[in-house]
Amino acid sequence: MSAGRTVQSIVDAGKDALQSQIADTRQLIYSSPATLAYNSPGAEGYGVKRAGLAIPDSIMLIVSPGCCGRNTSALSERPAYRNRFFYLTMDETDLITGRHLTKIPEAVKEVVDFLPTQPSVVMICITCVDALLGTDMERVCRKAEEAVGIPVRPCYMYALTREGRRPPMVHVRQSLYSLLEKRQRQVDRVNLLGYFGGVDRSSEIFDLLKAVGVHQIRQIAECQNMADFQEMAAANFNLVLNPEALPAAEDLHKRLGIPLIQMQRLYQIDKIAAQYRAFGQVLGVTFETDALRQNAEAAVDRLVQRTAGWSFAVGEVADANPFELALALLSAGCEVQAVYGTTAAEYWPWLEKLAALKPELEIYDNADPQMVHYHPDESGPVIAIGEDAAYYYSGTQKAAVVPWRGKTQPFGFDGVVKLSQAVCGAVDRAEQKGSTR
Amino acid sequence: MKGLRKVLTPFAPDQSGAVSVLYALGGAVIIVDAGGCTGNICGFDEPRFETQAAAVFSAGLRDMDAILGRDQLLVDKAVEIAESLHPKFVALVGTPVPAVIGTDLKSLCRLIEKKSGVPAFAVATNGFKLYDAGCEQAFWTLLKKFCTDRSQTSRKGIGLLGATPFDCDLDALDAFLEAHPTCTAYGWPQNEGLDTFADGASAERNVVVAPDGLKAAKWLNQHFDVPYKLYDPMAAQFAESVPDVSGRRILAVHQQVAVDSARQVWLDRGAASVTGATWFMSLKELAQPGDLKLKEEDDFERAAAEGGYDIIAADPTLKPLAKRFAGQWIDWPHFAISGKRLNPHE
Repeated sequence: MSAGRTVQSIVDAGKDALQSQIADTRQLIYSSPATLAYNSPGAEGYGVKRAGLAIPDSIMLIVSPGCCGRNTSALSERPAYRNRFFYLTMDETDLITGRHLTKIPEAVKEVVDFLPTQPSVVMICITCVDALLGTDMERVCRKAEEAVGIPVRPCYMYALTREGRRPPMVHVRQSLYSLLEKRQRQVDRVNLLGYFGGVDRSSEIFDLLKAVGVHQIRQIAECQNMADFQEMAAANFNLVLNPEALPAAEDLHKRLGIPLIQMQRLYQIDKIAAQYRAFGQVLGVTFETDALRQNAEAAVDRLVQRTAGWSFAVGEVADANPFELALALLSAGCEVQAVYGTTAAEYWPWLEKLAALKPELEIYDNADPQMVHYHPDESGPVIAIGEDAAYYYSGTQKAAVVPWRGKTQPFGFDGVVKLSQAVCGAVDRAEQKGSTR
Repeated sequence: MKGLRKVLTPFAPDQSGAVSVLYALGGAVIIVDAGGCTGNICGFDEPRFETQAAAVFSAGLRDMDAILGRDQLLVDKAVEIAESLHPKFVALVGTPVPAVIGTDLKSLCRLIEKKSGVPAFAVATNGFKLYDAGCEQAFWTLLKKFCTDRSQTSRKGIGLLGATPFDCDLDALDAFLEAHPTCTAYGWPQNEGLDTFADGASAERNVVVAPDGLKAAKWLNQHFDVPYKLYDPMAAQFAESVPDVSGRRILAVHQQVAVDSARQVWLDRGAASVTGATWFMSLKELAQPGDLKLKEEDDFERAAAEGGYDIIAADPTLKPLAKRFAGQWIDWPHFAISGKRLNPHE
């Protein structure tokens, strides 16, 4: 059985059939080394545990069987997370009696007393077990809050609800932003919501906003302390860059009256320009993007020339949507041979366009069990974008690897320029390496 | 407070132990979870994951599976894997989710085996116990399933039981096996390891290198008269490498067979006393007066501070708990505690 499907066969099957098999739990999920960072949030990337500690000086008490907290040591060794994770380990009796819940306020107090300085917030992280027990963690947190006199918030690491209405990465954002307290809104302030690592400050979005009178652009990643974080409550509007932050932004709209505008990260230059135009119309301003667009187009031209004779493999463990990026590359005139990503109904427009441009393009789902024996096509030189694609191609004869996964997130025209530079640099290195063999 | 960890992270759980035994046997290992446990096991507790791909899957359970008890869906998924990948077996490994909703993993395995024709068995771990409980159950289950008769008339070879990456560094184990060609480790090497269980009845004798191998060794002894002894040669090698132990009081912290094997070496070399301590299984066979069973952080903190030891040999992760210990600290890594390789290459 083949691991991949052509994009044409996916489109032929129709949008209704597109619902991911994984979302529908019709097949097992292969735990691929290619997606290690994706599978194991404790190891890399932002999972619930790391995201839950986005507020400066916060700590987390993980209340769970030992298995759920095991890999956290990979995180807690990093200087930024030292002395921030604590554990209340459940045993089988706790499971039956639920007695662990009564211990939480006391445990929170013991941890807070143990620390040399008082934390800003205590996040209580609970897992699938309490999801199944139906624990009212909001109530437990209120009790704990009374015990220590600082905010205590729940944080649900419920993998069971991963494809549900409020998956864990959505809920953790709601929990964090629920800490913002009402303030007078300031017309020159905006929050960027969506990325825990923050948007790269080299992105043009900062200068564009400043040019229209926005002087303070805040991101949770850049807050130095709780007071800094609370300043986010004074924003004139929230700019939501990742759909996972949308429910949190909607909460802030209802609770604090902060309106929201949604944008998305794209690599198709014409779509980026169109998105800025639409954004400007909403604000009643015009963003001057012509020079930025020309600069991005020039970078892509250089990319197309430099990668002639190479083929792209685009993965999902990258700072890009693999289908949108593949479409951007194909539209620019690059050759794309494979995409590694889980198809979903919301990607339908991109899939249709990919099918029109290159119907035989192979789409691989990293989590498909058939990927156990997968080896990529080695017929020519390949540029592997994303950590998953890099895994598949790193041992091949001629591959240029571009992990494209940073702490801060690329955005807008700047993202296109930076990616083009990264690809050209990787091709240079691969060719130099090849010539010295 | 009981169960509260302020310094240490949780130790390797039973489900990781079970997968560790099953990992290299050429079967399809299905972790019956929502995905997080599989990420923990593959991304942290299985050092072979990045270098030796294996058919390890998550059942991908979702809330509706738990609410509606859609066991048939899991059976169908497992049968599909058995028919498409042709694994040597299908193993279902339990986690907290099936433990809470009361999934009968053994019955599901009977259905999977009947439908697919591929041997199927369950290791009913639950994520609440420690790695050695999962290893013990997996070793024993494999033998019961696959070691059905004595394939050879004459006995030959020495079997190492209990050798997993949690207790034995992979490179050290490979080096030991290379230096001792008569020895075979159950479950070793990659993709051929299942034969070692099938041939278990023909072993001349077994050496149990960790407490989790003892139940399997006793079973082989009862059913096929294979003698066994408890001894960890790699721990003994480690003990030999520790200088200047003569006349000194030592606290040795590891799994109990390793502790006992090191203790013998140190006492032979003139150590004044060796107190064994373990966070894991305690066997009556190896217990010595004064040995410690550790459970909470305070237990170790107190022992280190008040035990009067000259040397503590333990995983370096425990060191922050020994702030009041003034003697010599010897790093004796234990993957089940720290999740770090004994001889890291990096």
